[in-house]
Amino acid sequence: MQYCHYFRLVSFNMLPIIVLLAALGNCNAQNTDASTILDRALYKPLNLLYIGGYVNTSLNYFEAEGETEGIAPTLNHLGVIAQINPFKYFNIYAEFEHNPQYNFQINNLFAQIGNKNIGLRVGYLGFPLGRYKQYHIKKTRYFVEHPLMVTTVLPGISCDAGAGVYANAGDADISNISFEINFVSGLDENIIYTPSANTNMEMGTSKNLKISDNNDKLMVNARLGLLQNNVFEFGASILAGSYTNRMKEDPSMFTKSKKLQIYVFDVALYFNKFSIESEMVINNIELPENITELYASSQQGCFIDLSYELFKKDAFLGKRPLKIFSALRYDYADLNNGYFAITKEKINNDYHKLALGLSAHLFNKTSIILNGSYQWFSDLLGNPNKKTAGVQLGIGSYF
Amino acid sequence: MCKRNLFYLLVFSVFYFASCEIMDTMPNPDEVLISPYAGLNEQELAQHLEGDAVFNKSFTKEEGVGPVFIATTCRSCHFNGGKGHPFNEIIRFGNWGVDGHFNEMLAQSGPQLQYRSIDGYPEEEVPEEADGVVHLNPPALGGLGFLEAIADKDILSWADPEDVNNDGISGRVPFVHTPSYAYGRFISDEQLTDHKGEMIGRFGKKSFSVNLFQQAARALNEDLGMTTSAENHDPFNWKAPKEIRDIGDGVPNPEVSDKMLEALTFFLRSTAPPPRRDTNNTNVIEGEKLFTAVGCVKCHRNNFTTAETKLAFLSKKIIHPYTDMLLHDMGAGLDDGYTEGDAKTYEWRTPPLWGLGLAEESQGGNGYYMHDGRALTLFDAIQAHGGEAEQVKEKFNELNIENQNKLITFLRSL
Repeated sequence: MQYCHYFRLVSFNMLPIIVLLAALGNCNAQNTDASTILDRALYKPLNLLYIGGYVNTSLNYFEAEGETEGIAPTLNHLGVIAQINPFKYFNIYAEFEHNPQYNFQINNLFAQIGNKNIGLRVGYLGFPLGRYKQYHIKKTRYFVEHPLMVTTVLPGISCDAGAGVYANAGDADISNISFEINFVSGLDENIIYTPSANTNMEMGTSKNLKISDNNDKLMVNARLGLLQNNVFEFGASILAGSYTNRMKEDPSMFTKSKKLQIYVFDVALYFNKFSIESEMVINNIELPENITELYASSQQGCFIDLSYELFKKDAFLGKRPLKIFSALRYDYADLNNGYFAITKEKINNDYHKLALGLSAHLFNKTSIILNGSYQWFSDLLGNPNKKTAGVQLGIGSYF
Repeated sequence: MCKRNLFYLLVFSVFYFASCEIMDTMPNPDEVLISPYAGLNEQELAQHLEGDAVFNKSFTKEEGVGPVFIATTCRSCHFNGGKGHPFNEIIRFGNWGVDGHFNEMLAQSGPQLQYRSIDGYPEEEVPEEADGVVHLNPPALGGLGFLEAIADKDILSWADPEDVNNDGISGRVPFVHTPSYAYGRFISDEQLTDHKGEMIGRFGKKSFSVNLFQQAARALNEDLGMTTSAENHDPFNWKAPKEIRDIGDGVPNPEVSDKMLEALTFFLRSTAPPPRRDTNNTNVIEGEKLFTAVGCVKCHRNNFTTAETKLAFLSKKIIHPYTDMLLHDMGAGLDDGYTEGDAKTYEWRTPPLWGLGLAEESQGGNGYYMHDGRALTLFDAIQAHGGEAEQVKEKFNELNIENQNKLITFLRSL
């Protein structure tokens, strides 16, 4: 039953992409905008010190069950990035973010030895889990909000202490294979001590500036990415290991190591003016027996972004380009993929969201975004959906 | 702007305005399981909202959850504010000694199973020696303040433990031990009946708590592992090594302030029951007559007036809870071998029926009625009645299908 569900999820998510792959042969590659601040800063260190940042703010109007809080401004993300390059093959990279959920968090803070092809990193490493999460600082934004699966099923834009290596072969802007593997402290037991009635990956990441001692052994986090002719991009990521803390337990009584695996697959296609970006995630969490009554041991989610360039002017307000895009996003997150142990009924807790966007990209650095979204949510017990609709007018920029 | 761009703008606009059309509207007041009483003044409404915040607050380990617990927030068990679902049931246990007395197994972490625990602390299991184990679904919250406001004299007047009137119903007043902290927390002077140092139990499926202050303090303690000045000791796992047990959750007691406990109590007192629906429906009207005729109303009492209380919105109100607040013998089928307070293992307090008709809609389609959710439908729930209610059930079964449906339609209107 569960595999059928996975199959349906994969089919639904990937079918449009498979169909479009057939038409790939004669397509011209577009500028993918795949390069990010992170790429540029890490792989092309030109200066001794690089300081930058990003901001994403919006005016929001949402309505649910006939009620609204009116128009509310929010500062969704405000990040500061710094990179110090004291030597040719050594640099330190830091990325801090303010957001409404956690106020302040570290996204990355590590030292790196190596060049653009191969290197070693040590510090607080952002989990490379899927393309969106890894390249969350985007030049071009079509939507104000991160996809639901990134914020609810994945451990957010978070990091953990560890060390890892990365390797790249080929041209990062055309065809390239990239691989990154990190050994990190990993998620801790807080993923099951959550305020909501589901496991929560983000609750398991340390929020403080300290080395977390949360597992009996390290977790493995890896991503393999392929870019072909700047048209097709595929990635597979994993975070796996034990999330329980045996060190605190009495070995004679409570030696219970519990496993966790997060699998993420991402696919992107870039045509002349049209692009598709899609990801799918599946979490498997081995739960203590007493929790299986409350939570499902699996979560899943996916999103697919379709964007189309409506308008382009190469020299707008001087020599800077202007592009206007339309975009469509479907978002899905099932926070409890399973059945109640006692009643054998399906646990719902499913989010679906459709969003339409118009965005103007100015000067290669700034996006002005208009989004309309419609979300429907089924609670744990499968009661009638709760619906939320809204409009957001946002601005996103990096500097 | 070219036609294509206009097309996309049009699609965007249609999408947005269409989404407005398919949006939910604000639910009718009679569809809402919990809401504050309409008569609250501004100050009382503020107190209610303060308590609502405590009810919905997710407590953390750092704030004192545990070391063993069931949930980190009240709302997770009282799902949607209505009656609970079996997935968040609580389990209580005890042991029958050779002397015939029921032992709550306090030394073995009884009487409630806290099946979750904080890091490094073992969760509990039901001890093998426990031979009285009961599974309890959480109760609905609406109208608890009204139940607290019922005068003692009314409850006493309905009792008929020896069945003197020979109607087959012998409701018994539950007199229970009253902890010192619960004195002075009654909302009415008409609630001070002292029976050999014990007072009338009103809350809990076996009527263990005498007022909502006690019930709130107990729930915080036994369900969340949060201590208060009233219940000042964390639950523990007797099987945990002593050095771990001594540390507990590591948070000094009390973990919840008196202000928060008072606010939570006020929230429970000021949460109204759902209003009735479809009262002009012919089947509902006839169903209510059948409800009376077959004798359901002998225990599920309908009309009475609350006592004079310290809270104006609860005082001298005519209410229709469909309960007599008494303990009744419900037969062997509902005897789980567990007891607490003054109740026998086969005795249960008559539950109020208000909000019953919204149970299925708020629990994914199944009502999960009775104390442990064993009955999926109202018909099943009626069939689960035994003991004193056996004769009433037989009368219900003698009704033709049409009349049975009318009676159930009436129940759905509550």
